Amino acid sequence: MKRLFSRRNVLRGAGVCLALPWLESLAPRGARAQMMTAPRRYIPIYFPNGAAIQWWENAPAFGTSVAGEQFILSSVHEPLLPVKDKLMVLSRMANYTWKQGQGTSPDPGVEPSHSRCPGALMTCVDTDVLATEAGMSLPSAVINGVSADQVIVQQGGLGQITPIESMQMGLGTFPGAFDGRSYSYSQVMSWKSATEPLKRQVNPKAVFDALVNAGAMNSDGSVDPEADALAQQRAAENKSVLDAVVESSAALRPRLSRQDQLTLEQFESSFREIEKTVTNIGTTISSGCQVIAEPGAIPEPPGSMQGLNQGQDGYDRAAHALIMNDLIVMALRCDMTRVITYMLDDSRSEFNYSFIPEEDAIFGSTGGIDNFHGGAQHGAGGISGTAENGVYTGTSNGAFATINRWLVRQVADLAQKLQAVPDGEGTLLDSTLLHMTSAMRTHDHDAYDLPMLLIGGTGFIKQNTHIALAEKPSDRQLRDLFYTIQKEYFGLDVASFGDDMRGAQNEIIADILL
Amino acid sequence: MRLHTLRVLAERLRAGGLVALSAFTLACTGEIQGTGADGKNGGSGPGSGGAGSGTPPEGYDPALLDPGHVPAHRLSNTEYNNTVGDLLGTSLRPADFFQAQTVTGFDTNSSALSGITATNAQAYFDAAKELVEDVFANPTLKAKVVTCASAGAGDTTCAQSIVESFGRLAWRRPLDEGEVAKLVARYTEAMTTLGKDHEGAVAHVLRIMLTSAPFLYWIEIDPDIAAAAAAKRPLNGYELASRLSFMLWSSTPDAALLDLSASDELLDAAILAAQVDRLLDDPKGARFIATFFNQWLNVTKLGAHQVDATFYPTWTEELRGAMFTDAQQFFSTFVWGGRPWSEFLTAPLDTSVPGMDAIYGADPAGLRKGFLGLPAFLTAESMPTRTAPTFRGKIVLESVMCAPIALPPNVVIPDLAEAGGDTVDPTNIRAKLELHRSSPDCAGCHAVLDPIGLGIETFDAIGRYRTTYENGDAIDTTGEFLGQPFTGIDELIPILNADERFAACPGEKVLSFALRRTPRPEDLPYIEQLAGQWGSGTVRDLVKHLVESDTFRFRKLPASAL
Repeated sequence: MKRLFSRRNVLRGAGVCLALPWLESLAPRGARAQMMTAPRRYIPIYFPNGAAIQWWENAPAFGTSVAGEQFILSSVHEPLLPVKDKLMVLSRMANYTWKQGQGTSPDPGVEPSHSRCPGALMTCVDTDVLATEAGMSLPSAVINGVSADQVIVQQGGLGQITPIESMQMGLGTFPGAFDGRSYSYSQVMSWKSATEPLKRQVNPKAVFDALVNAGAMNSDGSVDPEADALAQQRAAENKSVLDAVVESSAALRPRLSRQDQLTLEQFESSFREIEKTVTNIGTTISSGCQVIAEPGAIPEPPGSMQGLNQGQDGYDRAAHALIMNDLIVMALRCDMTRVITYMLDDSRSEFNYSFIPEEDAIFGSTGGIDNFHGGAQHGAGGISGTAENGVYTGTSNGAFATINRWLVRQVADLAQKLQAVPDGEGTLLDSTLLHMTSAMRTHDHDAYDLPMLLIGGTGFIKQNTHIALAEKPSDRQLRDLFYTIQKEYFGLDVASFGDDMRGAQNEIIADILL
Repeated sequence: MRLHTLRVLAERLRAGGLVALSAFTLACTGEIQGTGADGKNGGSGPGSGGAGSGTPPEGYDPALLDPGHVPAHRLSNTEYNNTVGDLLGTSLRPADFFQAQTVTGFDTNSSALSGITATNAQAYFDAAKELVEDVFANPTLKAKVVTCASAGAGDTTCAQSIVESFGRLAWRRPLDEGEVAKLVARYTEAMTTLGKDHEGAVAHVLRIMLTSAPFLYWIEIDPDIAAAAAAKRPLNGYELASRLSFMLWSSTPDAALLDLSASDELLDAAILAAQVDRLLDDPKGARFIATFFNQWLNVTKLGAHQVDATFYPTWTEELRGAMFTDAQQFFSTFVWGGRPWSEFLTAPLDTSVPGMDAIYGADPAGLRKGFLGLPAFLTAESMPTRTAPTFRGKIVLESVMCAPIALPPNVVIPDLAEAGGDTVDPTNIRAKLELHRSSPDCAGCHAVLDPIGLGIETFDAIGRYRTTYENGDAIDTTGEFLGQPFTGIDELIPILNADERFAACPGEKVLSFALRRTPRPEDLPYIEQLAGQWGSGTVRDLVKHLVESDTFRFRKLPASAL
């Protein structure tokens, strides 16, 4: 059963997505009500270890912005040129949610930063403080707030609209150290509840299977009676298995301690959650859905500092990234889900990026590129200070900038693929908000001025612009950006999001809105 | 022999003029009592507390001991693969594609495995289907499950006997009447409404059992919840069988173990100890070495470790495999070979593993010994192009001595290059590290971490003996650890060997592994007791002491679990 992943297998699937018009009559049931305006989608994309100073080389002075022709892409952002008119570079967004140093000024530098910063990225709460308050030991604690994407899924009732509530994908086949904490801060963006981390899936075969099981199928409109009968049979068997499994757990539950009861309640609800998927017989879903060729499987890394590095067992990160983009496009155009979190690599990645081709290795020496964290993020150079206008000074090493540029290229590839699919009156990119960010600024681990891009979201946010928000002490907080996306983009009635040690209320970030 | 505490360590550090006091954390605190006895402490009956020889340490009272509990949690992915292999005879390894949920420590730690997501559920659901298809496609494997035929429509006698016998193996306990009835009803449903024949219906029921919580989870069921919170209760035979089997085999108990559970014979300490021997001496006992030792001592990391072949042309995938075998060989002497833990740093290495000549070939006689000379350790704790004395020191302190280093708060940890290390010749790592330590921020941790690693710089990044760096500089292995100077590995080892934490550490690790938790404060008196009782004997003896203890054989719910 060991299905080895090969470049050929993966590439088999690439490039078969062809643009098909959005056909109203074939749209999924839930989507019909929203036909007049295409549904809104949100894809937060994480990259680890922060950014090289080249990220900000053409940035305007803080508190100002540039747009249109004055907005010039920095060298690490150049791959985004084809979608520049849908791009916003956003500077000076901070995530000072930690309560460390309560009562004093906010401190953007926390340790261990490669677990606490990504832990707080989508929840805007300090996981170390939560764990300590709950009396958990820090090395084994698994606790956080509900993440911004899951608030959207839950409050927006997306689980009732699409077959799959939300998806979590990633490329981290070889995680680095977890900084003395659990996997849940290094390999997770989405938290369904305080104790339910939704780990990213690296296996393209599993993502593909989930989409097909949920009913993704090519839309030639016809129904094969034989296949339909088989699907009915399979659904009935699956239903019987699920019912029996949930039934036996429910019967056992009352005999257990409250703690174990909660564990089994979660077991039952996670199996109930897949019921819709495994009992779907596929005839209700069609539309402009296009199924890509089945990709090969990639094994999950068994733990920190283990797994597949570039070249091991034929593993190729570039091919992996392309196929994951194809799967994201498939998931969206088949309307299987509308919220996907995507980790371009696990936190504190030590992956060997020396495969990056010349088109992105344009920054001179790439010494240290064989270890993202140790060699590139902590290679020579970095931000040394700011010039008078607030623009950073310093130089980062070529490896750091090269990896950033290659990661941006993967997002650019995704944006272009979405741009090629018509959706409603525009394209799939118009009705999708791609939100690329790291959990820390640069080599210094600060959760201040996070390197951040917003792409798409047409009609909601300003585009073709670099907006640099005001400087300290009025740093704009990431919790406010999520709050803005929840209220203004999804129209949700959210009272507040994330922690603020000063007790400040959430505020809409009007600077980014149209 | 009084063993020292964190306070003593802190005093030593202070005496040494180091600034890292707050950076040192110690998982085992309190005073540990040594025994000087042979460490073998005859069986103790249930409830007696397994008191050791010698004076019990302060804080340890077997009557008051709180053994804690193992909360319900899923099998680890390794355990899932082993379990389906042992139970069904399949060669499939579905869990290679399951998501791993790990915390710091062992991958069986229950705190990360109690949660489950829809992604996990989907993977279990698909895997059970695939496993059953695999078994039913293979006549030999199928015959082990389908042990009887149906007498005709409506006959469930055979189905019921399969549910009861396979169910006991799969769920690791006898099924109760209600459970049996429900599964038999599913068999009937498959025959009547799902269009299955007898075999197909058995397959359907098998699939249900392999997707159910009692298969996927460790669940210890208290007969009376309130009583289990008020006082500790002895585990029943089946619960003991699972604890024993998952510890030593990383897998489900076999029929022999379950039979001893059914008759309650397993509750007898002598029989329990005999089962430790049987499980360890079984070929599956090798899993204990691969899982426990490799994770404890971070050798697992070797599997994905990168070596730059331009610096080390000798490096091959075969050599990686040989190093694993070599490490397994070394660790196994403490389990299978009767070698005591006190020799962990001094025992000679077996240099006979095929392929290891590339590493051992250039050794001067008598130089290399013990864990500090083990190529798997030396390589896994190196960088691709050079040694990493800091990594090596960290493993010795954190894993061998159970003295984890906590990162100082609010200090950016720069790479060597950033700290100015690049201004010296890159091939002399000591010179680089010395520059590193010139920063007060760095010195706190590195003054403690680095000397151990620098003391074994005579071994390069793949563990070969050397006398000079690539640039021709002579290797300097002198240093000082906790105020005691040494000139090299020969003087370093006795210093480490005499450290009380070296003797106490394995007890903490084996408890953490067996009971699937980061040790709680309530465990510390017992960990001290265990160390004294054991007296740095073999790891096999350590396991026996643990399984005979109330900590292993009892369970008590904390108020927070109610």
